[in-house]
This record gives sequence, structure tokens and C-alpha cells, in this order.
Amino acid sequence: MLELPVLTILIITPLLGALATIMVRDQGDARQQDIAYRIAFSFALLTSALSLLTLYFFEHGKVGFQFEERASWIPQLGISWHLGIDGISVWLVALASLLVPLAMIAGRESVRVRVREHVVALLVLQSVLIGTFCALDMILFFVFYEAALIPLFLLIGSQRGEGRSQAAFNFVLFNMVGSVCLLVAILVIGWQGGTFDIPVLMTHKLSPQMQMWLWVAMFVSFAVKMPMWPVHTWLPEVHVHAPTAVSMLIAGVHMKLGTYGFLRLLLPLLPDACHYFAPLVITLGAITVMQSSIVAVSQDHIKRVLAYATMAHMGFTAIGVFSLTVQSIEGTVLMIFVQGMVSACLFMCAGSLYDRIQTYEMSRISGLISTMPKFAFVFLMLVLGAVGLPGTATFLGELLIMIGAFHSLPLITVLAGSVIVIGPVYFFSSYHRILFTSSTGREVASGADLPQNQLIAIGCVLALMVWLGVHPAGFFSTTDATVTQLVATVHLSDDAHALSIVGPAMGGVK
Amino acid sequence: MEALLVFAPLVGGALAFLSRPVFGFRHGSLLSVIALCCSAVAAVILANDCLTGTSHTTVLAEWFRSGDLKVAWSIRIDQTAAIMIVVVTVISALVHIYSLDYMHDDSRRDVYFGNISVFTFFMLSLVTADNLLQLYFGWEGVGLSSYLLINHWYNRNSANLAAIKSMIVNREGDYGFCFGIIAVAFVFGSLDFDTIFAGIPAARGVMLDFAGIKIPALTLIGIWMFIGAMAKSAQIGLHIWLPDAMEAPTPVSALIHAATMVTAGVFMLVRLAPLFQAAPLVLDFVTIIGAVTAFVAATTALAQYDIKRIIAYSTMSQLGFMVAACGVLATDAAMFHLITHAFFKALLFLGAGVVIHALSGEQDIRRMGGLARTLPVTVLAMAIGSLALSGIPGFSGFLSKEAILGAIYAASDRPSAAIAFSLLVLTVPLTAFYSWRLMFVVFFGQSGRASHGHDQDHGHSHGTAWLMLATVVLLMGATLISGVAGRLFAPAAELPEMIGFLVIGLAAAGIVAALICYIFVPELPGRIARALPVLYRLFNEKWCFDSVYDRYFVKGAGGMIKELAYSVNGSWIENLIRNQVSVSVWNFARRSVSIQTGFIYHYAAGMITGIAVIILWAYLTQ
Repeated sequence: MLELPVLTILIITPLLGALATIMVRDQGDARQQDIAYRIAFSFALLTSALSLLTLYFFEHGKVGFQFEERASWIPQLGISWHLGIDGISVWLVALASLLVPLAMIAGRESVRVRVREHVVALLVLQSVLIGTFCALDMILFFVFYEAALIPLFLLIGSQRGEGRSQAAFNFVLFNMVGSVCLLVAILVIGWQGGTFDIPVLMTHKLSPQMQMWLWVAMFVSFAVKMPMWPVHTWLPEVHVHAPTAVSMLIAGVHMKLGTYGFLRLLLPLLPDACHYFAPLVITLGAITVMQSSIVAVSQDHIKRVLAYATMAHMGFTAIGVFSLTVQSIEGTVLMIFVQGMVSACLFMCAGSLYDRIQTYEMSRISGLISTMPKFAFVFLMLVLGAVGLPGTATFLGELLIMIGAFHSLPLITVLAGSVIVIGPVYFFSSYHRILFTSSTGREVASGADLPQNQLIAIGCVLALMVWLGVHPAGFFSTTDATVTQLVATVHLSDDAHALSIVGPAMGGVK
Repeated sequence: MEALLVFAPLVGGALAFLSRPVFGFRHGSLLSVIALCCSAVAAVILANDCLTGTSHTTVLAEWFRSGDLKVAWSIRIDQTAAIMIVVVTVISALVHIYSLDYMHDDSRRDVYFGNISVFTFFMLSLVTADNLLQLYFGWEGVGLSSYLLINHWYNRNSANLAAIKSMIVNREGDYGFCFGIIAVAFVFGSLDFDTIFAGIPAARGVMLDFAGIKIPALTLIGIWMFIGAMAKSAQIGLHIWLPDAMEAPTPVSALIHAATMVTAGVFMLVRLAPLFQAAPLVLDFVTIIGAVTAFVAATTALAQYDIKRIIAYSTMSQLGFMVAACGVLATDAAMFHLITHAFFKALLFLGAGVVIHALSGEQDIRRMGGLARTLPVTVLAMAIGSLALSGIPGFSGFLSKEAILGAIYAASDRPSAAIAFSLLVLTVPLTAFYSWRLMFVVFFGQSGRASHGHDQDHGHSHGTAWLMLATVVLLMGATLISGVAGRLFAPAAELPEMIGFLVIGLAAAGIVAALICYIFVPELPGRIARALPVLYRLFNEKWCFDSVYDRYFVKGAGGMIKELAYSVNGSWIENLIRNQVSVSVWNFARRSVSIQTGFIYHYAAGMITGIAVIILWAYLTQ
């Protein structure tokens, strides 16, 4: 194995790209903007390639963290630059690094002013997100986790438009409230364990009573990020006002930080509390799924529909994590990875549509199929992925999550599963409204079809979606060891049964 | 050979899609036809190997393995699958050839051929599945193809609506099917058919706990699975998509909405028969639903005027026969009827396609008449199809219908089977009546109506559709021999002679009644309709399913969703967070006044929040 600090290189590369891009003089000249874009895009692609190499060299079937590196940072407080990835985070690193070039492609047409700043912010975001998924030190994790808000805030607020600043403000405010809770919890855990190192803390046992409080504090933070009902109200407004690239990254990867937090911090560090609260989270997840699906049905704004659809999927991932079975957690990771890609591409389509007709309101769009047949095709394929048609990876994810959840709370699972029907209702009615229905007084797109680079990007995502849906053996062999061990840790916890209220239900058959 | 069978249509479909835009080749449709013929040949060879009763499974690849759940892609060919692959590939190949003429002038011809070829691929992966998940893969795949083909003429608003309706109603069924699969994975720990069937005895006592209510696992699985079958096989309640699906081009109706996809539900019931056997309560339900469907659909067909819709309701009615047979576990009889029905119904649809083609798109039988002289081959073909459908001895439908009625009669010590038997016996003359009503009105009856001038004006351009005629003739032959061939697969049990005579007598009575009403005394039907206005309206309005659904589900639930969306999305938490730093006391006072705003969604919001709190509290204190 190469003895290079692979993960540090992964984090640094986009930052170097950002530096290089800033060097370009930008005076609003189209040619200079083009150069800035090209430089940034190549660095983003380079990072993606590196992350795919990491994925390729990742050893299957090995328990524990790989590519670990550790450097002392603030030894007095037990804080270190500790990075490493396991079978779960390796996929999230890939997701974060792949989505940024996609977001840049989406912004190629629409972003006309401050191109340089736009791509620099995206590169910084790439670096920070990769860092979050690699961090094995809680303070490091928190720093990256919070740092992601800054480029996002700037990207949302920077473009002109009514309500933008309010949306950006709301976004940060909600996330900050969550972060305060998280920071307190992290400090308490660190103080109790004497270190902030996650692998070390995993062997350290906190008292059940303490776990409860810490769990609640951390959960609030991650639930805001996902977002779960009822702390979701920031989400639709942010999507409505955010530029396409930001919508893609929030839906594609930033929201996934919540689920990742569950997997990285809650499950291994607070197993007893996780057991205790599992039914609560599953119920909240089911409420999230149903509420967002129902709301999505009555929306007229494409981005709102997509935002609520993504939220429904996130509700599913919460159910998956807290079903605490191997299948459901593997399904969750698959779902996060593929659904992140798919929803990002859906937002890309919505953005391209806006570039052509200057509206997101479906009641004002119709009959697009005559002018944009390629758009119609890729949009249909993405919709099929989003509603979970068998043969796509999203279906496998959903199915595995529901199989796992059925073990603990069948009734709640059946309720959450209603999205099988409601999902197509809003997706297909949106699809029909913008592509087919032709009534007078509506605008028909007169612009060109999707550009070549977007088609190629979406095509790659679709190929990945089908490949992982039909033959995901490679995927499951990476996650298997990690997830099995994670589930075993949670279940082996001594006090689990004293506190557990899942116990009797889980005993069902086996 | 197995791979050729399943993947040739997929490759053919891909070629049809890609040949024009990628290779600039204009005859992609021909490639898909050739691929389909290869697949049909492979199917016949494979089925021939299976005649002896052997079955074999080829594992293609692993699908996924997660935890202790393993699922593989495989091709299982046993007797049931052998019947299905022959029916599917042969009819699909014929429909492909027929479409070469029928869709000749269509601008989206390549897409059409791509879609029906890919449909065939999905259908084959469904019938050759060795586990529930692959079955589900094919199940959803055929649903998707059906959706796309219904929407083929996307400029028609009615086609758009029909397509979305079929998608959503089918998803309702899939909801059931999907949870059936999940419950099977939970109870049996595997999705392979053999493992499931082997585990049934052990699973009899298993209960599922739904928040304190215990339900026997096998019953629940059976009901969920059957909901899936109900949507796909257009059983009453979830049937509303099938008549509307007639917006699709007619060859599609023949292939998908008569011969193959809609029989997938019956196929599933046959495949999972051991599972249903362990759930007698579900079997009663299946029997009753099947019989009621058969009866309601037949009565509806009496009062329709669209040639394709009449045949669609007839399909629904015959599917009811098959489902009812599955309800008494007469799977042989159900499969037998599935085969014979596939051929004669495809024949009827393709014949109707010739008529529609000749009349440049006219579908209302009131504007047809006397076509026997201009379309002599078609009238013969449709007559044979109608004779088979009515259940006249010597034709295939008689044997299979007799087998079903016999099996249900034999099981009639169960009350459900007794009810089903009487309903199905009532349906037999109705079937004969509506199918011959169609024959007499379209081909004989008074000529010289509007259609005729029309025919002479435009008919010539479509005059020599040789491929269409050839396929109709081939299907006519297939219909004639399928009664005999089907017997080989499904040897009939000893039936009381009474059943045979009953079927003959009732069918003949239906035909004679049609003859009287539409040839000898043409004013009689109008007089009957006026004498029984309530009944006529009920049948003509399709038992009001559509209007009731529209009023209570689409509009009612739609309105409720709007209100709910407004309320559960409420901004209280946003207010809480945004104002926590500011002076919140004043806000609180204002909010507590605004609680009594009188807006219904505010109350709904309160209720939903309350329910959520109670649920959470219940879990926390359990």
C-alpha cells in the first residue's frame, strides 16, 4: 500500500485549485471567466479522480479505518489531525468529490457574474466536505462540519434576488442552533473520555444517563441538517432562492451530513441511547417521509417539489440507520450515495430549465417535449431513479431500509412505505405538467435542448445508478465489514437490554 | 439458449432506440423484429425440453447480498414458465410484425418498437424469475413500458391522463406487492421460491405485531401480494386504469393489455399458489374478487360503444375467471385459460386494429356496420375469436372455461366458491352476448352509415396491409390449436358433464339473444335500455367507479392534501428559532390570540401535532 497521506492530499487538492483560480484576474471579461472556470473544473475533476482511486485501493472486507493518518495538533487538549475512512465514509468522500464538478457544469450556463468567486467557493466546499467525511477527531469533524456553512452561505447570498438574504440567514440560523448543541455534546464527551479521538472514544463507555442527554443534543444538530420534521422549514426557501449549484450540493451531499453524523458519532459513541431512542427516530423519520411527500404533491415550484422529495428520502435514511440492522444500514449508505447523485442531477435539470424559460413554476411551463426531447429522456430516467424503480440503486436502498425497519416497527414502516404511491403521484404529475400538457396561456420553451456537457454528466450518473441497482456486489463488499461491526457494537452494548424497548419486537421470529 | 431468450428482445429494443440517432440506420424496427423472432424460436425449443416436466434454473449473476439476504439473477424454466415464455414471445413477435404495417406512418416508430421490445424483455424476466425480487423487477418494468406506450401519442391529453392513471393505480398495487416481499424477507429470511415454499409449514404460527394487533403473517403476505395482482390484472377496485389504457396503439393493447402484462397477476397467483394455500381466508377473498370482477366487467361491456373498450372489459372479465380459478387453487385451469385467452384476445384486438386502421381511426361501433363485405378475412378471424371467447365447443375458450367452472363447482362446499360459481355462470351468456353484439353491429347490421363513405374515401391508402392480415391469419391458426396444445400442458380433470352442457347452453343463448337484438329486431336494445334506465346507466357509467374515485379520492383527497400541506408545513418551529433571541414574549401573546383564527388548516395543524406528540409519548413511556 502506498504510504502517502492520501486523505490530506484529497483535502488539499481543491484548496490548491482555489488558490490557482484566485490568481486569475477577473474583470468581468468572458475569456478570463472561462479560464477561471477551466482551472477550477480541472482541479475538481482531479479531486474526483483521486477519490475514485481511493475507492479502488480501499481494501474490501477489512474492519476498521484505512488510509489513517495522525498528526498532533493541540496535544494539550487531546486534539489531533486524525483522518481515516471506513466502508461507509469512503462512499461519502466519493459522493462529495464527484458532485462538485457536476455542480460546476450546472453553473456553466447560468452563472454570469462573479464566476471566479463562484467556482472558488465550490472548490473550498469540496475540500471541506471531504474533510468532514474523513475526520476521525471530533473537534476536527466539528470544524469541517461548520466550515461547510460558510461557502454555502456566501453562494446563496451572493447572487442577486429577492428573499435570498433571508433564506441564507435562515439556513445559517437553523444550522447554528443545531451546531451549538453539537459542540456542547462534543465537549462533554471529550472531557469525559479525555480525548477527542473517535476510534479511542468508541472503546470508552459512557453511563446510560449521560448518553441520553448527549444523544438529544447531537440528534438535534443532525436532524436540522437532514432535515427532519419538524425542523425542516429552512429547506424549501433555501432551495427556492439558491443558485443551481448550491441546491445540488445541499440536496446531494450537505443534507447527508446529518445521516453521516448518526453513523459516525451517535451509533458507535452512544449505543445505549441509540437503542432507547430508535423507535422515536423511526417514527419521526416516517412522519418526515409522509409529511414531505404530501406537501410535495401540492407544490407548483419545481425546486420545492424536488426539495421535499429529497427530504422524504432523508427521512428514509433516518429510518434505515435506527432500524439497527445490517441490511437497513447498508441500504442507507447505498441510498445516500445514489440518491445524492440523482437528486443533484434533478436540480441540475431544474436549473437548466430555468435558464431557458426564466421560471420554476410548473403552471407556466408546458409542452417541453417538442423542443427538448433529450431533456425529456434524461429527466424521465432521473424520475424513475427518484421513485425507486427496481433496477435502480435507489430501489435497493429503499427496499433494504424497509426490510430492516420491518423488524422493529412494522406499522410505522407500512406508513412510511406509502411513499411508493405518493412519490410517483408528484413526480409523474410534475413530469406531465412540464412536458406534455398543452393549454393556452402557458409558455413553451423556445430554447435549445440540454447542452452536451450536462448530458454527459447526467448520463454517467444514470449509468452508475443502474449499475449499482443491478449488480451492486462491489458496493456491498466495501460496506459489509464496517456495517456488520457497527451493528454488532450497538447490539453488544451491555445495558442495551436494560434500556431497550426494541427488544421484544425484535425477538419476533428468529 | 436461456440468455438468448431473455436478452435478445433487450438488445433488439436498444437497437431500435439507437439505430436512427446513433448509426443513422432507418430500419431499426426491423432489427427488433428479427431479435424477437430469435427469442420466440429459443422459447419454443426451451419449452419443448420442458414438456417432460423437468425444470432447470440457470443462475446468471448475483444481484446483491446484504446481511443474510441473498438474491440472484436467474432464469428458471419449469412448466408454468415454459407456457408463459411461448405465449409471450410468440404473441410479441406477431405483434411486432403486425406493427410494421400498423405503425408504418408513425413519426416515433423507432421509439415504439424499442418500447415493445423492452417490454418483452421485462415480461420474460418476470416469468422466468426464480425469486420474488426478480419477479418484482419485471413487474415494475412492464408497468413502465405500459406507461410509456399508453403515452405514445403524447399530444393527446386523454393519452397523458390515461398514462398517469395507469402508473399510479399500478403503484398502489405495487405498494401491496412490495410489502408482501418485505414481509416474506422478514418471515422466511429469503426471497427464493423454493426456500419460501419449504418454510411454509414452519411459518404457519408466525404472527406479525402491528402496534399490539397480531395478524397471522401468511394471511397478511397473501393479502398484500393479492393487492399487487389486483392492480396488474385489473381486478375490481383497482381496474380503472385498464379501459383508459386503450389510448395506446391497438397492437399494444393486444400484446400488453390483453395477452401478457395483465396476466402477470394471474401468473403470480399461480407461482405463489403454495403460499396462498396456507392462507384460506385470502383464498376466499381471491375467489370472490375474481368472480365479481368477471360479472361487473361483463355487464359493463354490454353498454359500451368503443370497440376497444368493449374488448378491454371483456379482458377484465376473463381475467376475473382466471383469478377466481386461482382462488380455488385450480392453477392448471387458470393457466389453461390464460393461454387460450392470450391467443383469442390478441386475435380480437388485432382484428379490431384492422377495422380501426381501415376506418382511419374510427373506434365507435355506432358508426360502423356492414364491414363483412370489405374485410372478409378479418370478419372470419374475429368470428373465430368471438366463438372462442363465448365458449362454443370446438374452440379453445370452451375447454378452458369449462375447466375453470368445473374446478370452482368442485370446490363449492366453500361458500365463497358457491357464490363465485353462480356469478360466473351468469357471466357466460353475458360474454357471448356482448362479443356477438360487437360482431353483428360492426360487421353485419345496417351498412351505409357515416363510416362507409369515410372508408371509401380514405380506406384505399390502407387497403393492402398484408403483414397485418398475415399475422391475423397466423393468430387465427394459433387460436384454433391452442385449445389442443394447452391440453398437453394442463390435462383437464374429470368434470361433471353438466358443466359442459351448461356452458354450451348459456353461450348459445347469449349468441341467439345478440342475433335477435342486433339483426332481427334492431330497435329492441334501445327499448330495453329505456325500460331499465337505472341499469343501463349503471352499466354505461362503468358502475360509477371512475366518478366515485374522482370525487372522493382525486378531488377530495387532493383538496385535503392542499390543506394538510399548508398546515403540517407550519412555521411554528421557524418562528421559535428565529425569534428566540428577540423579544419572544410579545410574539407569544400574539400567537396565542391567533390560535382562534378559524382557519381549518390551523386546527388541522394542531391536531397533527397533537397526534405526533401522543405517538412519541407512547413510545417513550412504553
